[in-house]
Amino acid sequence: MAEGSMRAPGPGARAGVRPGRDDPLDAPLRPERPRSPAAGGADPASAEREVLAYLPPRLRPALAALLPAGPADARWLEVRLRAGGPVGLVTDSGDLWVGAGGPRRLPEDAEVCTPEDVDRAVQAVTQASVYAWEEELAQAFCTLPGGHRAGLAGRARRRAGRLCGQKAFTSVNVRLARAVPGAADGVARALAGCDPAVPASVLLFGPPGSGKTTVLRDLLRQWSAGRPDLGLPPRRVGLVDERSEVAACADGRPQFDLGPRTDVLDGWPKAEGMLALIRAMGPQVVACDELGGPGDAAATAEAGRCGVAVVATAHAASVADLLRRPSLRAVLRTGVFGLAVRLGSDRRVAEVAQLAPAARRALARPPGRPPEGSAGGAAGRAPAPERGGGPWAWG
Amino acid sequence: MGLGLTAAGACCVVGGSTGWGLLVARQIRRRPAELGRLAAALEALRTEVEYGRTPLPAALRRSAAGDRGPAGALFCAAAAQLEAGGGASASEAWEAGLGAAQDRSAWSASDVEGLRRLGHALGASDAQDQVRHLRLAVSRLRAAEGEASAVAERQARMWSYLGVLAGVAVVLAVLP
Repeated sequence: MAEGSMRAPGPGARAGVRPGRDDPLDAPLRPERPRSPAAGGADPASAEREVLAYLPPRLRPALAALLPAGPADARWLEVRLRAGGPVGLVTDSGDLWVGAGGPRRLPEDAEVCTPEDVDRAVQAVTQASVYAWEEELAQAFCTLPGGHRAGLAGRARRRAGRLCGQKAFTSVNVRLARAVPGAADGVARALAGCDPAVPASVLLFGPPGSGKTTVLRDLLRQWSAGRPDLGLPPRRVGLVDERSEVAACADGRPQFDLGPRTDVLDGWPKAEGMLALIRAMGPQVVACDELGGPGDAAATAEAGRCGVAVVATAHAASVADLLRRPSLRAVLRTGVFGLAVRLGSDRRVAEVAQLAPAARRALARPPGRPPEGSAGGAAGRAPAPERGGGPWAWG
Repeated sequence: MGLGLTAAGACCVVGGSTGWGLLVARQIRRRPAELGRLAAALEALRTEVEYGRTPLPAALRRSAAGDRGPAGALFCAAAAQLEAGGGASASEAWEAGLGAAQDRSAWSASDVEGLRRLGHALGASDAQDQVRHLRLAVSRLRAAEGEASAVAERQARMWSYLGVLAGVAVVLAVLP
């Protein structure tokens, strides 16, 4: 199936989507991205340069001096601006402070970010149009072209007691999105080594910044293209990209390589999008980022009933955390996920949990009834993760 | 002094003042038309904001598409400023647009003042509030347009006559 994309009709199209994204008129703000992953490797600082265009002009020279020049240099993960605070950079080889002449060890020596700098960054991110980003500001982040995410922190703006946006911004945090071919190799190997009786649905979880979205992006690419070396056949993949971060669609086309058999629903709410994909595109795998909203469990269960595998990410530091979150617990209770993969720092696979059929049955039990097996109270409280026994078999 | 030279001088003076009078008349006739076009562009901008939630750079360009007058210049210059990527606020960009458009327009000082006031609010609030500001600006412009077109014809004719008459008066006054 050819790569394609559909956009949400009506007001649904607004959710998480940069308005007017497919308008050729606002092209000047949008640097052309290389479409192929091979071309993406040509400039080691392409993602950094894209983000630099949204940072205050006063700080750009100091930041530009820290652009990675070669593959060995530290790549940016986040740029942090705080009004009255030092300018910070999170790289894949550690945190550093940005000084006028280069990196600084101590925050006191770093360039100080003024409230005006923060304001300039907010204006650039929102294109000086607060009205176009009300929903996003209420959720405290905007997605930039290229899939980068700008977190914005300020004072709440309320209307009739309801949060409807923000004003007086004090912090901006830009998280860079980039394609990392091979990031999902560990997950692909875990999938290949999986019991064929276990559904191939995968839940990727980890703390913030562990690379869940990057791994998901690469896993979709690998699955869509197939990994014959691991015995993974190619699959038709459908992606619900609610926040436009995984595919980073611009002008209706994914900016990241997602493989030859991937269809993207850009900006759709996850639950509706999953069902629409199953109805419309006949996927073998549906994927979405940051599962755990209302209705996600029902959509996951429906996908499972249709024989479609689900790949999703979730915020959780451990399996116990995963089960402690009621919405995720409901998702796991559907019994659809056969594999839970915890990501540690730097996108490495920290642990792989095969959710054996017994565990899924235990989770599916209504709360209160003691399950069989040794983990004790899997449905009533979070089981302590243990290796090689109980309903969680650790691989 | 030869009679021919005097006649030529008189012709120059009368011709010059007539031209000046016609120029002023043209300026007066231009104002209502330009105000009308500006109001139409702001109406289009309101639609982009209200229904499309289009960010300003694209909204400004779309609303002024095809307008070669001062309204188009204002909108395009403001959009260009926002697209430059320096993190300019909407009111700074609007001010830059006013700077670019003012010289080629027939807007009065009060028209520009009203536009400047709109600029302070532009982009800085939710859609409901933006629509309110834009509606207010449009209704002000429409009122100014109606007023201007009522006086324009009368004043324009007066100024063109005045030009000729002033020239003749100067000639008569300086003739020996």
